[in-house]
Order: sequence, then structure tokens, then C-alpha cells
Amino acid sequence: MAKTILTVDDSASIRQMVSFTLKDAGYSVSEAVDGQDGLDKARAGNFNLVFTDQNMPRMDGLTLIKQLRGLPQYKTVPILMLTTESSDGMKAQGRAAGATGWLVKPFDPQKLLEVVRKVIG
Amino acid sequence: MTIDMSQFYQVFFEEAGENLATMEGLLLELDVDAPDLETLNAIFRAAHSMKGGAGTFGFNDMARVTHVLETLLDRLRKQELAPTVEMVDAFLQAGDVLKSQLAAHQEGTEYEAPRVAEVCAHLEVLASLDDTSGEGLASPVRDTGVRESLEGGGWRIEFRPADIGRRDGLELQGLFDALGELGTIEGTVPSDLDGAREMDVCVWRLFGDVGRGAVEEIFAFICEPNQVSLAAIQPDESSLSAEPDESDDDGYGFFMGAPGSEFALDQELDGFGLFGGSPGMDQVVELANQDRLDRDLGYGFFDASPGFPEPNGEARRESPAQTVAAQPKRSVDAGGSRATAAPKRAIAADTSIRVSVEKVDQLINLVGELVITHAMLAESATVLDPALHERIFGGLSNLERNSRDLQQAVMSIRMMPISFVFNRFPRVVRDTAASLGKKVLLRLVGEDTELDKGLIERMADPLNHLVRNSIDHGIEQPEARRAAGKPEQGEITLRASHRGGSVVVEVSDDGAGLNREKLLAKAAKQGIPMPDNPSDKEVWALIFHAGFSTAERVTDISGRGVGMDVVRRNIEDMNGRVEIESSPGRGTHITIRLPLTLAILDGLSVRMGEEIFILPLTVIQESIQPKPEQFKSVVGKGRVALVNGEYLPMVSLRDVFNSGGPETRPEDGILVIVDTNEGRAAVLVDELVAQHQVVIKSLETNYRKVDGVSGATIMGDGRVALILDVDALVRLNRRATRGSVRPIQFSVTGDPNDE
Amino acid sequence: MNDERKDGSAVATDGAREYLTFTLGDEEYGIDILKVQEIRGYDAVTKIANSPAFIKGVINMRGVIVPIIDMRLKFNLGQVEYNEFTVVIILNIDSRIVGLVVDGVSDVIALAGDRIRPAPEFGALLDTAYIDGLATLDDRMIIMVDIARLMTSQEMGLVEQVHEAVA
Repeated sequence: MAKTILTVDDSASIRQMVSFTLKDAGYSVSEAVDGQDGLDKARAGNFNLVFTDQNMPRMDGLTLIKQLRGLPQYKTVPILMLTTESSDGMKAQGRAAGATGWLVKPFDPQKLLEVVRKVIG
Repeated sequence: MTIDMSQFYQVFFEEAGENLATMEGLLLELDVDAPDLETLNAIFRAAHSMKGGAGTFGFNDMARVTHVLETLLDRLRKQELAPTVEMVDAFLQAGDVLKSQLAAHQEGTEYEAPRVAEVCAHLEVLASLDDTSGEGLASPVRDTGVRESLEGGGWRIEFRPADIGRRDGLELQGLFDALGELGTIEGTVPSDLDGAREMDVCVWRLFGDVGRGAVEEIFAFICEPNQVSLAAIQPDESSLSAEPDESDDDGYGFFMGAPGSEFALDQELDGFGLFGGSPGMDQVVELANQDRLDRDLGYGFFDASPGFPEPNGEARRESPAQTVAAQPKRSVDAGGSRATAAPKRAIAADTSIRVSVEKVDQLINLVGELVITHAMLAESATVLDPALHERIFGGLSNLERNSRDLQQAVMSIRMMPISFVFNRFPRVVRDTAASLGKKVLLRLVGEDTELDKGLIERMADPLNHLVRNSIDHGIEQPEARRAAGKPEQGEITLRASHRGGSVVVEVSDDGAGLNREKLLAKAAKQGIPMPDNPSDKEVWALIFHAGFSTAERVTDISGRGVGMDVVRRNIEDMNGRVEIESSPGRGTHITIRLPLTLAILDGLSVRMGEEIFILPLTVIQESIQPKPEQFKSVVGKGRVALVNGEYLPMVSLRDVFNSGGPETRPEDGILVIVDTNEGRAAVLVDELVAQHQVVIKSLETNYRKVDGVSGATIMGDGRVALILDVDALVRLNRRATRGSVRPIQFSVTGDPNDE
Repeated sequence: MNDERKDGSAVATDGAREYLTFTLGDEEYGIDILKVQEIRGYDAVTKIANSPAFIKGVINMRGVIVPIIDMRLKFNLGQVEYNEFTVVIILNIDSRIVGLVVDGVSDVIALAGDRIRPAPEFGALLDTAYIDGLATLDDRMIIMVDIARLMTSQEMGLVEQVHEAVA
């Protein structure tokens, strides 16, 4: 059974790229357009990995991560945040919110796959 | 595996275009004196999103511009700087640069102009300013650009976990770790929070070259600024040697001083990283361990005690790993990975899809064919007895209803809200008014009104011209307005609405209005023939004459009046009409009436001889059965018809189209009174046939443009009928009657053998 | 020579190309068969105002508006009554569809390029610029017409010349 990944990003092009790349590699991918949508979709399904952007309308990535960590089924699921800067401040906030790791934007499909394989195989 | 990134470009282009439009709209909305934080955030997001996409898809020029844009926006949204008009201007310019860059990439080229560097440099200067005026914003976070900490010193952080709602050891640990990222942190995380009392206080010491802002930033995320107290620790107070923080040096961070395990180890790799000890890490570690086991032993098994090193420190007791270990273990598949509650249910699919316009147009064509096929069937069925063939007639009427519904549904795919055009006008008005030293408020009404995508795109230029014209020639200078007892700020309204199967777009201003005398004088000077005592409408229509300008001076805003004729032509090319009303001192009101779509038309079919023609319903005012005494011949003007006290030029299709055959006596025919851009005219036809909704077909696809005809359609009997262009008919008629009774220039090709 | 006569399904070989031949009065013309989309009977047309006489008008062909040209009138061969044998050759030239009214379609022939000889100067019937040459087949002389060039020429007036570069 394919591993399931949720990608949360308000940018359709990034979603498309992430989704295409991961599907191409055999993962099952769902997309959400912002934090709120991500939370709703995450509640509805049990994903093996969540990618989330930080800056999004309605609900940002950090809030999403915190909310997800509050759900029993997401206590330990790897959540990676996508960030345009690997600034320590942002990383610290991500860590505080419960993120498992970060991935710096821009990234290419190969990098994305490398991360996913490392995290969920 | 290589993935061709270019396949994602189209989505990025569309998205970046939307982001640019959003950003511009929000910037124009932004009140620099009382900036709305949500608006600033939304602007930041638009820039941020573009930057992410541009970087990802390799549009580095756009990524550079969005980066400087984002840097300044970030300071604004963090309220480190207060927005200024200068900044908004710089943002708008950056937006323009990005638009050019985007357009260039869409063409497969790159936009190179000195402007790019200038705009970026300007933004950088603005972003590097230290703010003082921003204090008024009551910013909870002070300027992180100014470091308050001292070398070797740090911060004493005191707060009550109960206050900030962080009573859970896990979250406190996260906070502790987050601060630890900044420097070296000392202190304990209360492990037994159940026993914690309301007044329990946590005191942590953070050492290193850390700005107050950075600490506050982390706390800002979880509590109010007044719930945490920060006190600077001077270097001599430091209980630690002021060593630089090792964790930042080589890209690795050690978590809680417990190195040596994947679990606790921060893994900073090229472009991504994992937080040691964070939730989710256990899975990563498990994967790594399983991998190792698989490699070492050649088989995989699940060990209930995975054996990763126990992290040091009391604080770890409540860490996620332990929480997980206490849970019942889930199964492991052969690959060694844990199958976490496999989601079997289908995840809701995306709610929209992108389809090429060609596909939609093909669909519209096919539906058009269906409508025509129905009409043909219905016509064939007219010979049948309805009583005997009830089912056929019932089926036909169902077919008609279904195909109409289908047609409407398919058409709606092409429909877009007019806001796509309207949204550019706040910017146009702002820039134009500023360059003319005028004050103008723009009101947009009915932005949700939908019309055909093709029409929307073609509306942009004419509307742009009309709006600029209103600002330039309509709205007066502030002093003049004050003198006239009007508010200094002029108002322009763009309004769209649906009215009886048409879309009406209005551009109105409360400016000076058109000057009748000036226009007439100008017309006389340019030798434009005008009737005696022309109506206001006839006078206003003058501004649509080529080369006609009422401006006393030439500006680069609306030029020399060239363009108003082009505006009219553009609108007429869309089967639309434009009308002007104006009253001196009160303003000018321009009404554009457009069909909902270019694909279908409500028309009246008329017969002339053996041919059927279609007149668009939008141009028809009335039709009358004339009496002989209503007709007159006027030298130089040909025949005219007296209708409601007005002499209208009479257009005989037979003359204009040179179709031969016996002349219809006007009193035996029907006069259809139509509204043309030169005023009303009477079209003489033999008979009115019926009213239809017709599918518009282009003659130019396989033939060429035909004067007097705007297109063709297919009638119920399968034959082609031409759709008349009344404006052109009136022109042709004038040419025909001026020359001789028959139009000379066409008679050479007349076919004597034709019936 | 006989072996060169092929039916419509024949495959041209050795650089030979296939041509559709049609008759106009006493003359037989050949056009590149690749330009022919279909052949149909004559339907009533809708006349186009102020157009040359040889443009009979337009018809609806499965929803597409197609202009119909009478080649007799174009070549000044005089008018004949249309009857049930009157044939319309539907051409597809650079995605533009045009119908030609001819007296009848006679054949599909395959001709190698060297079988087409340069045409001597004709009268004024048709500008030699539009004639590729003459071919002889069983004592029949076939005038090979460069139909694409003719149809897009200014004198046909089918295409707006200003837009020619774009079209």
C-alpha cells in the first residue's frame, strides 16, 4: 500500500510539482490549499507524512503543525515545514510548534524525494 | 529520475499573475496611515508565494525581485517599519517589473532592463532603514535589526507556564529547544506539570549573541509579550564561558546535549533538516534502524525496544518518543516501514480543473451544432400532425430544453467575473490622477458580473482608455472643483450589470461634462457635417470621430483624442454599443452594452427577396409598416423615412447588397428602425420572419470579411444566413446613394446570369 | 501508359503523385489530391453581397461556413445549369476550406513529376502562374493546376490579402 502524503501549500504550482513528483515515485498524495484545508484533510485521512508551507491564508503552517500535534493520530507523524529561509528563528518556531524537520524552498524534485525517502522510506 | 520542470510552468505563470494582481489590489487598498496588519500579511504572502515558485521553477530573475520585495514586506508585517507612500510606490514598481519578467518568461525570453536593478536597489534601501516612526504602531516586537544583547551575555527569561498555557511538558520542551536554537540555554523544564501550581515560575538563561527580538519572536508565537520577562545578562554575570554556540557552526544541532542518536540529533542536510527529538522523529529513526537491521541481518523485524539511546536529562521523560513507545505498536510491513493506519477512503479530489480554452470552444461549437440539429428536426416535424405524433413533439421539446440548458452550462465555463478587468483600475486611476495632480476616488460596482472570457480580454483596452479619458478630460483640478462647489476629490464609477441578456458596463465621472459649444465649433472646424439643431446625443457622438479631441492641451494620458474612435470600433467589433450622456458641470456617463458572449446572439430573422438575414436584437428599436407618405427622397442623402417626426436614412438591403431582383415598394415592406453609431436608421425588408437565438459563425474562417455583415449563422433548414452589421450598412448605404442609385464600385462584378 | 491509371485507392510509387481530375466544359484539369477533402453534390448556397460572380455564396458543411466557387465562371467558360451531376470538390488548403463547382469529377491519376510538361502560353483563360504544366494520358490532355496558389491568390479574393502573411 502506497504511503500517503499530504502537501499543504497555497501555491498551486508548488503543490502540483510536489504532488506530481511524489505520485511519480509511487506515493499517494493529497493536496490542501491552506492550513485550515490541511487540517480538515488531515483529520479526514491518516497521512504518513505532512509537508506544509509556512505562509498561507486562513491558517499558517506553524498553527497547522500545532493543531496536528493536538490530534491523536498525528502525535508522531513526521511533519516537515517548507520554508523559504533556513533562518534559525523560523526553524526554532517550527521546532517549538512540533515540526519534525524543514525543507528549504526552492527545492527541486530530487531533493524532495531524498527527504521523503529518508523520512518515511 | 529526472522530472521536466517545464510541465509546471503554466500553472506557475497563472498563479504568479494572480498573485501580482492580488498584491497590487491590496497595495492600492492599503492605508499607509493606518495599515491593516492582515492586508500587510496578505501582501507579504503574495510576494512570498511568488518567490517560492519562481525559485523552484528556476525563474531566478523573479526570485531576486520577490526576495527584496519580501524582505521589506516582512519588516512591515512584523511592524518593524511603518509603511510609507514611497514604499507602496516601490512595491507597485516592483510589481510592474515582475509582470514584465513574467510576460517575458511566458514568451520564453527574459526581461532585461536597468529598471530591474533600480527597483531592487530602491527596495533594499527602504528595507535597510531603521524605523523610528513605527513606534506608533504599538509593536510588540522591537527591531530585531538592532541587537540588544552583548557579547558573552544573554537573557534571563522568566515566565509562568500556567500563564502562557504551556502546561504540557512536551510543549515546554519544544519552547526550551526553540530557544536553545538561538544560543546556549540553561534551565530546567518542569517535568511533573500535574503538580505544578499556578504561581510556579520558570527561569531560563539563554547565552549567546542573541537579539531580544529573536527571543520575543519565539514567545510572540505562544503568548502575550507581557507574560514573559526578559532581562539582559551582562557578560560578567555570565556563568558560562562565552563560547560561540557550537550548534550553529557545522550545520548540526545537538539536542539537549544528547548526541549520538538519530532521535535526538538535529540533522541538518543540504537544504533540509530534521529536528532531533521532535514528534515524528521516532518514525524516521525507526526507518533508519530498520534499514540498518535490514542491511546487517538481511531481514527485518520489529523490535519493541528499538534501542535508540536514551536522551539525557529529565526533560526527555515526557518526550514524544516515550509517548509513542507506550502506545501499542503497529504492524510493520516487509519493507520495514510502519503502515500507519492506511487511509483507505478516497481523499476529496480537487474542486477545480484547468482546461484549455480550445477544448471549451470545441464544446461550445458542438453544442451549437446540437442546437442547429434540433432546429432542423423541429422544422422537419412541422409537417407532422401533433396529435398523431405526440411523442415526437414531446421529445423535440425535451431536446430543445436540454440542448438550451447544455448550451448555457457550456457557455458558463467561459464566463468570468468582470473583476478580472476592473481590478486593474485602482492602479490606473491612482497613477493617472497622481500624474495630473488630481484627486480621484474610484468606485467599482458589480465586479462579480460575469461575461465571456473573450469579451473580458477585449474590454480591457477600451475601458482603460475611457477611464484615463475621464480623469484627464472629465475630472477637474482640485481648485476648479472647489470653485465649482464640488468636493476636491472627483469620483469615477465603473459599474457592470446584467440587463436583459446583455452586459452593461458604465463609466461615469462627476467631472466637468462635455461642452456642447466647443464640440460643435470643433466639428465645424474639422468639416464634420452636422444637422441643424443637432441633438445632444449627436453632439456627444462627435468625440468618437477619428482624430477628434476636446482637450485644450495634449497630454500623454489620453493623447490627442485618437483612441475614442478606436474604443468605439473595439466595442462594435464585440457586437457591442456605446452611448454617451453628459451634463455640463455634472459629469459624463458612458454606457457600453455588450452581448453576454461572442458565441450566440439574439436576433430577428428578416427576409429580403429569397434571402434571410439576421438583425441583432440589441440594435432594433421598433419595426413599422410604413405608409407611402412617410418616404421622401432627399438630394445627396438618398431616400429617407419619416418616423416619429424624424427623417431617418432608409437602407434598402437590395440596393446595398446589390442583390438585384424586383424592387420592393417601400410601402409593401417593413421598416426596421435600428440604432447605429450614426444615429437611427430604417432598414427596409420584405418580411419579419422570427426571433431566434443564433450561433455566430465567422465568415472569415474560410472566406473573408464581408462589408455590411458581421458573421453568419445556420438556420433550422441547414442554410446559412448572414448577420447584418447595421453600422456598416448605413455607411454602405451612404456610399451607394451618394454615387448613383446603384453602387458603382460593386456593379462591375454583378452577375447578369444570376437570378 | 495504361498501368499508370489507378483507382482512388492506388498508392503512388516512385515519386509519382496522385491527382484528382475534373472536367469543365471540354477541358480536363488535375489538382493535387492531398488538397481534396471530399466531393459532394451541389446544395443551395447563401449569396454573399458584393462579391465576384464566381463566388456563388456560402454553404453550411456540418456547421462550417464554406465559400463555393464556380470554376466555369472563374475560367470564363460560360454558365451551365446546375443539375444532379454537378459536383462540388471540397478543398482544404492551409486549413481553409473552399468548395469548387465543376462539371464532373473524372479520375484519380498518379503521375511522376517528369510526366508533367511545361505549359505553353495559354490564352487568357487562366494565368500560367497557376498552372504547373500539362500531362497527357490516353490521348487526353490534362491541365495541372496549382490549386493552392490559385485559391490563395489575390484574384480569387478568398483571402484578405493584408492578412495573408498571418493566415
